[in-house]
Amino acid sequence: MTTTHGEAVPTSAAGGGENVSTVPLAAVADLRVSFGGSEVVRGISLSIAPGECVAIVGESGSGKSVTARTLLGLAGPGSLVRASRFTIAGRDALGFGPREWRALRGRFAGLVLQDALVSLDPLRTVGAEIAEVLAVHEVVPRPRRADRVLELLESVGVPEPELRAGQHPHELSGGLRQRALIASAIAADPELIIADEPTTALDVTVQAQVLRLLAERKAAGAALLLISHDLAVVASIADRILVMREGRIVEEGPARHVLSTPAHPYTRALLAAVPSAASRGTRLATGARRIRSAPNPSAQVLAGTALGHAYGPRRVVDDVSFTLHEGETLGVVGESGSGKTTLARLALGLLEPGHGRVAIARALGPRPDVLVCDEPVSALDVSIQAQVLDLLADLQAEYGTAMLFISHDLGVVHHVADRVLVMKDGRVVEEGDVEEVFTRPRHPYTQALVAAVPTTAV
Amino acid sequence: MIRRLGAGLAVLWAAATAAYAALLLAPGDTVDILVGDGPDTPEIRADIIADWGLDRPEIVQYLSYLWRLLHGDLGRSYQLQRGVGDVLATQIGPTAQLTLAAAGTGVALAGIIALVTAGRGRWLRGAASAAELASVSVPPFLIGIVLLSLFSFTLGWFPVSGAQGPGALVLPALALGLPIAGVLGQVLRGGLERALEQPFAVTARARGLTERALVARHALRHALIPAVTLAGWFTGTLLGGAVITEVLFGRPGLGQVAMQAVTGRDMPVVMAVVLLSALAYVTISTLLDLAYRAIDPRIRG
Repeated sequence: MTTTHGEAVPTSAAGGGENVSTVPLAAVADLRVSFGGSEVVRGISLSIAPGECVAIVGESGSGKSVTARTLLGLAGPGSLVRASRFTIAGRDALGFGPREWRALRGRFAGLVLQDALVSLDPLRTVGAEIAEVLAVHEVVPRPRRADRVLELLESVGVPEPELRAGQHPHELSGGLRQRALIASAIAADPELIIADEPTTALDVTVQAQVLRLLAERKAAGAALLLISHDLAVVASIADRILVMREGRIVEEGPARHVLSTPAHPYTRALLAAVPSAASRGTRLATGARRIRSAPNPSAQVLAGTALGHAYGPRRVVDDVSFTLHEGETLGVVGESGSGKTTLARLALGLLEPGHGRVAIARALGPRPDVLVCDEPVSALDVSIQAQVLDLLADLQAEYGTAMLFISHDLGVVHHVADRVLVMKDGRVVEEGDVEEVFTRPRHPYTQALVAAVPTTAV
Repeated sequence: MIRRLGAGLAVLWAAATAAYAALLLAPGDTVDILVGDGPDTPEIRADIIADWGLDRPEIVQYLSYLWRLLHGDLGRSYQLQRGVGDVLATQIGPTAQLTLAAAGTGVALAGIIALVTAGRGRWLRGAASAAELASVSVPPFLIGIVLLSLFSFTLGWFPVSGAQGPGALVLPALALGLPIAGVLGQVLRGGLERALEQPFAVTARARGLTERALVARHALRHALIPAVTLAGWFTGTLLGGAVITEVLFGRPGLGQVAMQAVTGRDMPVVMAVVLLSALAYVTISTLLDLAYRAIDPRIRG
């Protein structure tokens, strides 16, 4: 383990600083990765220059995660990796043994995965997890490690680092533990950060914070390989975008170019399938206009009045009222813990309200008048999400079904809803016509939510 | 924690009461039962009536029985003409040796097998699986007989019976420990393999950890969680197996005492053995429960 990553970079070739920056941190050509007989990465080429942010976008099964892990020698058990060229920090990685790979992992490149609740060891404190990188690579002598852990937590914006370092992932909020995970990835100050869906499963404002944090690391000189299924997430930070599908790169280019003038039909389909304000009234899968009957404001099908519900001393839903009419979609947005799901259960009569009253106009039959959707598309790829949203729209058009649609994704709600409730800490902070609320938010919380939404607009 | 201790005390109380109920509800005169197959003289009968307060109301008998137990007075064996506490005290040593050695052997073997075979090739895992299955499905006395005939009768490496010296402990500890190793080994290996596939294992590898360090610092602790939940089974196997093993290998100990007491209908000794088993059970499962809390911070909250 005496080799450091710096040594092998042929800096002396021309003796000038310019040449150094053109040596890519990682470069592969015709990379193929297969498991058993099936090839999941089918001949892709990519290179990442120092300080650059490259994004790989694609849906599940596109091979984007395997590609990212292969760059760390972590393609997985039973994998076969072939390439015509595979260099890491200027060295030929095809000949690397386990020892050479380990020397690079964490030191040359750090990995950030999705959902720190399971990507950090749930049985260990976050401080121990961060310190592990420092210990493995002997970055900091043992007596200074605890201090360095606190510095790192502070640098990723974790308040009260002394307290947090001694806590376990389940004791931290989603945003804090994702920051802790990033702190562990950057502990040895790697030149390359590989982030695989780093913001999936996070609330929109926390997602924005994590993206800002990654952008800061980039500004500080680190290169970034960002893997996401969401074009909007990478839009704000990527210099170049590679669109992957079924193990191949179907399109690549400068981010601005790919987002504004996508050349490949698949990229166009991906962009069109992102639900947003612009996609209202269209079928996401095809982009065609859809015909829908207007909500019937005289036929109220479901109403809640001054609803409240508490778990112990905590009021999770507090004085919430709503009405839902035939053929109407009422969106409910808010972050985790805002009381959205409890409201859905109250509306369905699954929970007894502590206060208030729920009135249902007609009994639910084989063809329900009301559909309550709680995050129906949050775990889905964008194209599957598009199909589900189209299906819901078809049902509504055909039967006049009213929908109570709960989501943390403002784009989805903007696409489907007529009116919207914005919830925070169990209360409704703002409500009204969806267009009105999302384009001219009055409450500061709504303003913060709207500002945090990533967009593909360039 | 206080609730856990309370539950332990409740189990002990229930065991004491059940033993007492068995004595009262058994068909025939209580004095006859307590005399059992031992010497039967008017003096002994008078002693029994006085010791157990059989001339007093039943509730008083019961309460004074509990009161004596609380003071560690386990009563008297009228067959052996000795205090029961005295009888057990002389025999508890060999049994403690045997069960601790068996538990240690079982846990150590299970750990080694799991660490060596987790995530390895099909052949190695298959062989370990087959060995584990055999050790679990073959009854302990058969394992004991095979060990005896191979290592004692044929090879003469270890004594056939008795408890003299450490050599005499090897075969009984193996006979009792192998089934434990089989079950624990499977559970540990399954736990290790699951842990090594978790996202946190990918993160840890991406820090540059060796597989060995990954197992030692992360995966092993995860694998211990399902293993610790086997505490009840583990204790039961040890206690029940100890009786059979002691009889088979002709070792002194509580198992022998229990066997003789049952066949000789020495009720006070049988009752005391029941209580002692309950105490061992409660102690071990409380300790393992504490271990569980130490291992998994998520259930402490």
